[in-house]
Amino acid sequence: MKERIAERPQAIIAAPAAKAALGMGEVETPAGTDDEMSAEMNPEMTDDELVAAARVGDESAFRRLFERHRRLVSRLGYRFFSRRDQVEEIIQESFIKAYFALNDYQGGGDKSFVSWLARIAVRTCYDELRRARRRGESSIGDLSEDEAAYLHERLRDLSPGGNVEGVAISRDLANKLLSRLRPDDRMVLALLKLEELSIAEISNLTGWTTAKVKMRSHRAQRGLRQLLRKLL
Amino acid sequence: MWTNGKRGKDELDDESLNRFSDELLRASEAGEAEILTAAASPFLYRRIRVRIEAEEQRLAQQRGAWLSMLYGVKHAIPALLAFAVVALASLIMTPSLSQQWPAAGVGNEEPPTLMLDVFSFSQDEMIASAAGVETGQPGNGGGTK
Repeated sequence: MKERIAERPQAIIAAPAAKAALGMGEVETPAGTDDEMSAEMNPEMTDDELVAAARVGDESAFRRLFERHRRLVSRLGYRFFSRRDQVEEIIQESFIKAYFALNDYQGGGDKSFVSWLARIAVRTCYDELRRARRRGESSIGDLSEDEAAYLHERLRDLSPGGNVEGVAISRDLANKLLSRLRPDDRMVLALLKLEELSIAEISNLTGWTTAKVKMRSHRAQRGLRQLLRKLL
Repeated sequence: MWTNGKRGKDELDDESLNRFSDELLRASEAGEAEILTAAASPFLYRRIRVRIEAEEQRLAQQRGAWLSMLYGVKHAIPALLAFAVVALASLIMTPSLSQQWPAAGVGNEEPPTLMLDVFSFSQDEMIASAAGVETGQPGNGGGTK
């Protein structure tokens, strides 16, 4: 599995929208000039150089990697979680996993640190989604009467040519509904609709086969429709 | 609003519900400010370092436990080897003893006496002893052939 991750191309950040969503725009990694200098002294070290320095125990190199890419992980965390404490936990967990897996990272070429870290973050989110589901957090039962009535009203107003886009849904309510989906379904939906990634890119990111991603995407959309029908 | 045919109705329903689902997903998105706030949370890196150090300590303890166990095993090897040699030797000796007294304890035969040679007297010795003839050794002269 590790090999497969390392071999994967940087497909995830190929699409401009996904690139922006994954925070690629903010990653400036010009080539370093002096390998001997520590990360603290040389702020222009590339990710690969920082990884090499962190591997030999340069703590400031790992800190720089964290500072460079924490927004990316935070953004990914907010795709699946709504609470700040949950997202902070995802950031911590992802960077801890990355730290202990630094020796497995094979940079160079099109295998960037960003896509490697994104994979770790997505898997961390997936694990946390599964844990949250096991704990039974945020079920449909958590909908307040007002929220349920509001949704019911909005759904009854739906018409084939209706202005669905104008419907105002609170983020909290949306998250409560989405949390009813299976973790893998929700993950595929978020990556497909929000990150605007292709099936192949999601497959690269999650490590699932394209057939599995397609199947989950269909199942997720069907599941969400069924969930909304129940509220009618 | 809804078509009469069930199939048509379902299709329309699906279309509307899909659009509503997309709205739901969009509504669940966090704002840029929120993303930045979580990323720039104070002491976040410090908490990561603390957890990394704790994990490293745990791994070191785990490694230490393994090493001490291996160290113990290394020291126990000579003793275990000696024990194995003794066990092997006694295993080899056991068939030779049973061959020496194959019928020990079976039937009417006498059980074997290990010191038979030392304390037994030959017929000549008995006669010599009765006749009061010394066989070369002073004293009673018993116990040797």
